[in-house]
Amino acid sequence: MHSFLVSIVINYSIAIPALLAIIRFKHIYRSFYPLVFLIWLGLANESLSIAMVFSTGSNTVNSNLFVLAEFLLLLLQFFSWNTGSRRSYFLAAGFGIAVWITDNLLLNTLSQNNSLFRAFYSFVVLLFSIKQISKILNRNRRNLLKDAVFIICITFLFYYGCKSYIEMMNAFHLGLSRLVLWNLWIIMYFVNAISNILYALAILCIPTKQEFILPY
Amino acid sequence: MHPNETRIYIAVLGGVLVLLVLVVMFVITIVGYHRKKLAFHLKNIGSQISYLDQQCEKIAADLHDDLGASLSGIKMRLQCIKAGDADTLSIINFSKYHIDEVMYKLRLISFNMIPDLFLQKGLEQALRELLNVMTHAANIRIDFCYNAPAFNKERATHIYRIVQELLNNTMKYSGASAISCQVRKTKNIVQLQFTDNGKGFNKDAVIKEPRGVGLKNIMTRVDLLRAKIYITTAPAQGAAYLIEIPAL
Repeated sequence: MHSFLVSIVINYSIAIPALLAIIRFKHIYRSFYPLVFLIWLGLANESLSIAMVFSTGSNTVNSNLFVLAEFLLLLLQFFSWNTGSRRSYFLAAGFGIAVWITDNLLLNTLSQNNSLFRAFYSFVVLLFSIKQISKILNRNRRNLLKDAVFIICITFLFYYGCKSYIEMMNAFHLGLSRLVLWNLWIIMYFVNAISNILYALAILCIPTKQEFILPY
Repeated sequence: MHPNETRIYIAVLGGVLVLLVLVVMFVITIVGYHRKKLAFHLKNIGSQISYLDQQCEKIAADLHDDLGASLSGIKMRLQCIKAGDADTLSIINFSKYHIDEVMYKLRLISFNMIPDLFLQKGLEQALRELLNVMTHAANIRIDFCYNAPAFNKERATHIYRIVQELLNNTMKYSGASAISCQVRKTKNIVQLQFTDNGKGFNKDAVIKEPRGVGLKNIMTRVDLLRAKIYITTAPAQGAAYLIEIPAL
């Protein structure tokens, strides 16, 4: 019970960027709105998860639905940072939805803790983050550590890198005991907390208006 | 936990820590590389721009001092001629008109090439003259306001060149009937705001495929000033440029 309470407190670190996003919302440039909505959705999902755990004993249904919404919002975020072809985003979204249906409706049920889609979308987010970082390096003429997009993409690299790694372990059904699985999730909670602090930093760095930059 | 499970757990934890270290190393390397690249870029464009400005000054000084003085001399001599008949008088007047036109064009070329000569009167006066001279022939309403501290020669030249390039673009492409140029100091920055009511342009298309050197020149000077530029424009909606220059 004690570690469960600790996990709740750690997971509520999402409240920090969520609160900062509320305070700064009027000054946040609109191309960052998908991430802001994702953070608010994450906070709502945390609250719903606690309610579900206490009422039904499991939060898997809302978590499985949340990861799909998270994936689509992240794709929208990458799209709104880049102008150009929509094809790759539509392709990734279509493929992602197909994997989600396969994982959550065909191979398993919504009430199970399914890892295939989580591992898949983490990998897709990693690919888009790497592409975005290379674009930033080609265009940015300011301090990278104050660039909100750079901080967010680095956070994605760390968070979704760890997530894809741990979800892949889970996807193979290694027959680990509940205690080991719980400890693995505790690692993920700490990764989540570090990421939330980085998101808060990124929210503070989001510009009010979009600077005009030509590539080198 | 079973010893095998403990080993698996430690392996996973180790993997996460390795990933964390890799990400941190990646950030440190990338930030360092970016700083070096930025410094090299600024040094490179700084020396190029400085060389170009020097060459322009040299050519413009030759034009202004030699050709300008010669033309003034020719005009004075023409004024001394006492015309006997109407035909001769008409030729003299026609020639004087042409000399005035050539002198105006010479002045325009000088404005374009040697801001230093005009910056001696201060940036405010130089910009005022630039706006007047360049919009002289076209029927364009000018709104100019200057409320900023003095800049050193290098920074004043960059600002002058930026306004010159913006004005050039507006005159060439926008078909505007009104231009506003405001230079104001607010807190720790100087804001240069340049707007026109012309036909505007597609910003995204320009970013994707930059055409011409005008905007690139502006961006180069903006970089050298360590300033930021914001452009608000769309087809048929005019263009507004806001340049925020850190006040030293």
